Amino acid sequence: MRCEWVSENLSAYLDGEVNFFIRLIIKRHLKKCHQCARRFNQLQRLDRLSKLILIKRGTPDFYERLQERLVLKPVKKKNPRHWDVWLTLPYPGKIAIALGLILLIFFSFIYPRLTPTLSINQFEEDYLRSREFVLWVEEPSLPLTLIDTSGGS
Amino acid sequence: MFYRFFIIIFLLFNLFFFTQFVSAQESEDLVRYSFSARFKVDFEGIKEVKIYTPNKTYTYKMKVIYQKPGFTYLEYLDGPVLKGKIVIDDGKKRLEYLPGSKVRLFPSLNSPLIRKRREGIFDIILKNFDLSSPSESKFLARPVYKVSLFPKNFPDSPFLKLWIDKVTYLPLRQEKYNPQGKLCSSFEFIEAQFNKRIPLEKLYTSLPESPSEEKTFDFALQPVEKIQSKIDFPLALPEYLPSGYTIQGGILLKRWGRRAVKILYTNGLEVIVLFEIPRVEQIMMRHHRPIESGDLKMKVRENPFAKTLVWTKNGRTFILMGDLSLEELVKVASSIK
Repeated sequence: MRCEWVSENLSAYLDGEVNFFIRLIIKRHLKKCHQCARRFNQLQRLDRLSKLILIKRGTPDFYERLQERLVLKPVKKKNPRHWDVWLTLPYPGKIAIALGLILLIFFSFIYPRLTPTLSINQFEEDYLRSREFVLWVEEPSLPLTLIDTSGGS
Repeated sequence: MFYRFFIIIFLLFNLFFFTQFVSAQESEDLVRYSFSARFKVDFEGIKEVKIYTPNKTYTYKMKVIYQKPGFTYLEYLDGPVLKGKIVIDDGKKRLEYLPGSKVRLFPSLNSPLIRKRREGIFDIILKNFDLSSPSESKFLARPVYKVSLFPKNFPDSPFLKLWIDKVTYLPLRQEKYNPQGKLCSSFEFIEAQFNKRIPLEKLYTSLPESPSEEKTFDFALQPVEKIQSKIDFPLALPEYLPSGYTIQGGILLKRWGRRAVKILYTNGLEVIVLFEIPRVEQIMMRHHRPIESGDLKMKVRENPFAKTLVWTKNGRTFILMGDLSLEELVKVASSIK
């Protein structure tokens, strides 16, 4: 599976069109896999040769005519498949990502339920509501807004 | 000749004490009537509330409608965060609505329980504060009585000045000063129309029809001993209280998924609240700083309306709040064993 994926991206790798992460994966793979390394060498050679071919110059209006004949079709850009990237990851990497996700879920949803975290704002609102019985207080929660506007300083 | 002189002196002496007694009684009655006057008038006006902090003064303007018996409508016309907020108290429930959020329901400030509590506070005020003889003055072209409340025996207490309408006893202006004599909050009516009846249905039209969120704030105070028998952790109370403060009682809370106790202290004008909860690992508290007093490590947050201290001791978390100096609040916290 990895060889197949590498060979699909080999041409892009040669042209320097892949990102840093994929380049690193392909580079490592090429060091290990002789078959892919041979394919890469062939591709490299072909690329070199293609650059040596002399292109015969066309007639002066060649490019204009060519442009007219070309039908402009929207080119579908192939999205990078995340699953492929996942498959190419080494096992320690997969384990690290999975562990990270588990910890993220644990600390976001489960840990707060196990160890209750209270917000002081609830108590401050309760304090202000306790002033309701003080004689001339008409709107006990009014000063509560000052927490946000003054930053509680 | 000597006897005549003696009788005149005696009569003058009695007259002086009698007038003093009458004016003291008059001030007492004025203040007593003033805090329930808003439930007994038909009134529409614009009220300006100012809260003074060392760095900034916050000003709020609100439209106020009082309709007897016991109906209150407030609408914020100006001010940070609150513009557009509506509060409607119909004597049974108080609705609070801030545009963009749900309508919240609270017990009415004119409910029998809170009315009774407010009357109880009046005795504490009389115990702690001297009421000045009422002086006559004018406010918004209406005759008013001006009364001041000064702390009796303790200098570290705030004091208050009131301008009370002579006809309806409605406070038209109030100024509250901190112990250093600096103005810390005030309100005054900048427009006032008395005897104005308004169809109440009209006032509900700006509220959304979405379901409201009921807030069950507990008001029933219980003696501390009764609360102790209902909880499974020992209740600790402060051995030191600032002068003038007395315990009001406690409230058992069942919020935040655990049992908590709220103990209230008051001097008549201010409230100190102590919360006790079984140990909480973390309390989210922005803008705080650590302080130490003896072996007590606390977090303090200073808001414009009060200071908050949080600390954990003997398996319990304590939260102490009050509008006092930090030294006094730390002294109260340190006395909790």
